Amino acid sequence: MKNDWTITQEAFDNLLTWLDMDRERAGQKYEEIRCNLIRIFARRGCPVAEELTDETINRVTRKALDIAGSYAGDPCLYFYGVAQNVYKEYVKKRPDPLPLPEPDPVEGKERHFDCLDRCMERLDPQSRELILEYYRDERRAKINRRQRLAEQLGITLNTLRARAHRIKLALQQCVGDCLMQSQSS
Amino acid sequence: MEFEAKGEEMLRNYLLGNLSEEELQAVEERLMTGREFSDFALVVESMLVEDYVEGRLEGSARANFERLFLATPQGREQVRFAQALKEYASKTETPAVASASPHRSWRAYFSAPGWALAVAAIILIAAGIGVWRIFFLGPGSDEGLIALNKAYQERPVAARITVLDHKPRPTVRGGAGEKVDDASLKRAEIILKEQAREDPGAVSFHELGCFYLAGKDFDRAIDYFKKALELEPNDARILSDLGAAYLERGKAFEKEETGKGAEEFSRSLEHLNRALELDPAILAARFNRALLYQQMSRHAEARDEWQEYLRKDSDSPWADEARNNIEAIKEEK
Repeated sequence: MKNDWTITQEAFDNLLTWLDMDRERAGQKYEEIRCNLIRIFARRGCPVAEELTDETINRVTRKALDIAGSYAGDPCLYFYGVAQNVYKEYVKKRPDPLPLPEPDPVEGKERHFDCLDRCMERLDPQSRELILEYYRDERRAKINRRQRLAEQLGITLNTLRARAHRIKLALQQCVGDCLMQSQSS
Repeated sequence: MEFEAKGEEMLRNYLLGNLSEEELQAVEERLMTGREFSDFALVVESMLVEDYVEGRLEGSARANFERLFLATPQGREQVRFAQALKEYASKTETPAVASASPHRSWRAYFSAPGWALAVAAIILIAAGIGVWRIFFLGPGSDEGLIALNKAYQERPVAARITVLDHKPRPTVRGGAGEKVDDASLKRAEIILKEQAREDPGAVSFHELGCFYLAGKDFDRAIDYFKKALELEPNDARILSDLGAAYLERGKAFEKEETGKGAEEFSRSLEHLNRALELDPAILAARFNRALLYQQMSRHAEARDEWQEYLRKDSDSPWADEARNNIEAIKEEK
């Protein structure tokens, strides 16, 4: 499925221009599309989501100049249409699914905890408190705790969820970087 | 970010691979074009991962989760991270203390002198709070039911729902509907749904069923009461509320002239009888059975049942309604 064609600067410029005349906004849009495609492939259980995303982007980039003149809809949907074709091709050639990975060995867990420790300390105190409070307890105790936390902060439970999620994403990114560093050192 | 119950359910089904090809495409198109929706999907995904980590996904949901999430490096990382964060949070000192002093790691926490004393104190306080809740609120009571009671200033349905206090029926029939405190209703909805999701069981399903019954969403109410009954088949309160839901749905069918009202009344009677067999003292079931007989124009049985009700409860606002109903039966005759 993978194509030998590589993105030229000119083709990439054409793609960005098609996404938005403003270069900065085009860049943001491009990143957003890329992230969304990776997630869509991954949510379909595809272990090579980034590879398929790159293939999708390559195919669209190659045609960017033509598309810009003829396609009138939202560019995101064009990418999605191409992604569906790429996925269908992938499914036809898909290798057998891999067995489920073994759980982390103890030292892996320790590393995770060390990184979490470091990343927690980088958070501002309010965010740290919020995330720890949010993930403490289980079941009914947790629900009640979250409800109280939302009330203390004067926000709805849904806003609290979204806020906790944003902090969690930042933490996850930080822990990911930290684990990479500890592996390379 | 607007969290809609339907949207959340649809996204969970999407993430668990339960959508048809057409639905899948519709969701993915929205994910590609709507940033808010895409952000919302990330939150729902995060909650799903949490459910998996805490062992709340069962059967096909668990199998689908593992097939889709654990097959990808991104999914595995999400699971690993959620496990680590959960463990970390449970082993770290309370944030209230952390805010007053510099953050300490989970290891430092367990090696610090005096921690055992602090833990013992927390356990004692928690136990005290637990006993207080059980004594004064009952095991199934919580903020969700308090909010639900607060939401309805007038009784939304004629039947008596076990978790709702007495409220007068709206005085204007066919008007704009009963008076509702929307903020409390929303709060009740969020908490009760969250409970059913986080702590699925007879109590949480029963309470959510009551929320739907009060909201006149009889189909959902019946579904949740049935789910609760599967887990606790001999719970007279659930049986009473299921009987109430069939009674109300039967009345709705009669209004629509679907011809299915009688079937619903028969189901209602079956469940109310069973509730009263199991617990002859349950007032809600007796109240509802009297209402049901009256609805079915079985006047003699209705009058007897209201009188029986008054022998067990003669001085509550429910009793006043029983007396009024006896009068109404006399007038109809």
